[in-house]
Amino acid sequence: MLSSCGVFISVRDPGRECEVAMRILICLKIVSQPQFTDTLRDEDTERLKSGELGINPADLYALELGLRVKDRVPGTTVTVITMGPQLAGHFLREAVSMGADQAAHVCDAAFVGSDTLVTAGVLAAAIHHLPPQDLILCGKKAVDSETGHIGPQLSVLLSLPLAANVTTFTAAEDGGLEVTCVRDGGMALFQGRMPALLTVCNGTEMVRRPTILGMRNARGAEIRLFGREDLQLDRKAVGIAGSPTRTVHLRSVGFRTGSNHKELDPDSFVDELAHVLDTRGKGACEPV
Amino acid sequence: MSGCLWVVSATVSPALGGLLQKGRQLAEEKGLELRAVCISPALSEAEVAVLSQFGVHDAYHIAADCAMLDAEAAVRDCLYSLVAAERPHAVLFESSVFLGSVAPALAAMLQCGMTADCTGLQWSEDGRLLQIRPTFGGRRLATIETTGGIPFATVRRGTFAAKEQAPGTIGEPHIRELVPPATTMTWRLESMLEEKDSRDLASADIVLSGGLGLGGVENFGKLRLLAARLGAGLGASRAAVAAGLASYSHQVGQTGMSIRPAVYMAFGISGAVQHLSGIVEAGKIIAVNRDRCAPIHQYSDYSIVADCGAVLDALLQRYGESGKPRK
Repeated sequence: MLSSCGVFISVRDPGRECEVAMRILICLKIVSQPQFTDTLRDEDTERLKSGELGINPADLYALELGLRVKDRVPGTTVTVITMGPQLAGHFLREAVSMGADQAAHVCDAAFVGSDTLVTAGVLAAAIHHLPPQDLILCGKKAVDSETGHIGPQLSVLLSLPLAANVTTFTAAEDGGLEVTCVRDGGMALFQGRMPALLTVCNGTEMVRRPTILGMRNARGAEIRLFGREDLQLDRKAVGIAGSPTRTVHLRSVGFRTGSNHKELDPDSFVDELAHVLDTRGKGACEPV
Repeated sequence: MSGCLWVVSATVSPALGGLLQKGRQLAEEKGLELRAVCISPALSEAEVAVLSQFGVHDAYHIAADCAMLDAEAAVRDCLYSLVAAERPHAVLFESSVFLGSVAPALAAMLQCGMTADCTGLQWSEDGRLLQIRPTFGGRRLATIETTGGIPFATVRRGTFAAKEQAPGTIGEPHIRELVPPATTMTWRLESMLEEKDSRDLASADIVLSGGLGLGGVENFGKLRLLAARLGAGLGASRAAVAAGLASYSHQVGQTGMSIRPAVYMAFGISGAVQHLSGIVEAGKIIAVNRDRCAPIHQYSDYSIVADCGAVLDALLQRYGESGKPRK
């Protein structure tokens, strides 16, 4: 918040004057576009060039919401963090070119194959190396693995209050937080305080594009790298070896097609359609 | 006692029966006992009847209101003590917004392996729980095993259909009441922005969904009316939510909800892959779209190439005010 003399005061430590008003951290996952079915690997430079890869949509939306706080509250710093192979760094620069101030990349061959629990653990270890954050935003879930685990697990590992499935929020300079979130069968508005961790649903506001100035900043931006040794993590505690779950089998399934596709006549469909609805799809369609 | 397999749910309805039966089958195959953990403000007689109907002898009831954000941390801590004390063999959670955030947090506290939205469960030859789940928008099927800690898995609603069972064959279940520890209030409820819909999208057996091709607010109102008359859930495409025709809690697809109703009816939805991946497991898909080239027709079981408004009018006429079909 802005004190009377125009010096920023930390939300976290009221009374202590510092240069940062609010610190926001956004967790990003780099995924491939929905029509492709592979996770990110290091040798994916071809896919990078062809535009198949990108920041997970919900994470990108979380970044947009974080940047909107920065637009409104001067002195806010937005940091982005991702865990992934080297080429994920490209997307951290993209986030900087959109307006993020700092970037951290958690990257080590030993992390390959980590499941959600280990990924959350490694991310938490890296976040402990960053300055204390007022707000951590994660996308609700990634479009590739679709688990939605990382946000809730990070909240436990970092001992932060959690609000999951947030559609919009307002972060006030005095540390107040107002979140609108999806609950079972409805939506609700809650009030809380920072620090907190929110998982953000993909919303409908426009996500900004990189700016020319942003791209210039991104070129020279320093990306803080965290490897296994920097985080003092045991080799046996990360990657496939440290993960309590293991994928034993992965197979492609054909996208569903209509089992017995039938076009109904727009002028006389009602009886047939009503039959399908009334039998909850079980009854065979009567010939008209 | 030889150990337990738990089924944790935030609702107790006949729709939970399928998961309870699956849980009992898995438990019996390993010589375990099935135990239900129900989270709700209070257990009604009807809910207790569901438990006994589906073969639950022992249950825990955690008194909490799942609409509240604070209840998540309270229930998580309550389950933590319970799991740490009783060490169940495996824990199955019925997928919901509430448990979708409680279960992974609990897994992190206990350092247990966690699998999301399973659609299949079985024991491997060496006695591990194999958890089968769709991934990559339903285009891949992954089989996951838990190698460390207690296997935790959330199971998509309606995955296991309940088989008919005579009610009350095993008598009243023994229910132990648990009160979650009082925690300091972190999130204060300001207001419920939207009351519960008549039918919950996740458990509705018919879902009527609207997209931008539906043609605006008036037709969306008709869709809402028809859904109410049919007792169906109301869904929407991302584009329709973006246009403000419905709120996010109705959004179906990769960035919204994945659902598996018996019948899914899409009005004016073109059928982008992001939308289709939310309905891969629907029983029958009926597409209504004026555009013959819309990809949704290709994936549907029945398609009507016609104006959505006209189709809605005809169906509204058929399903009169009472919701009963008019011959």
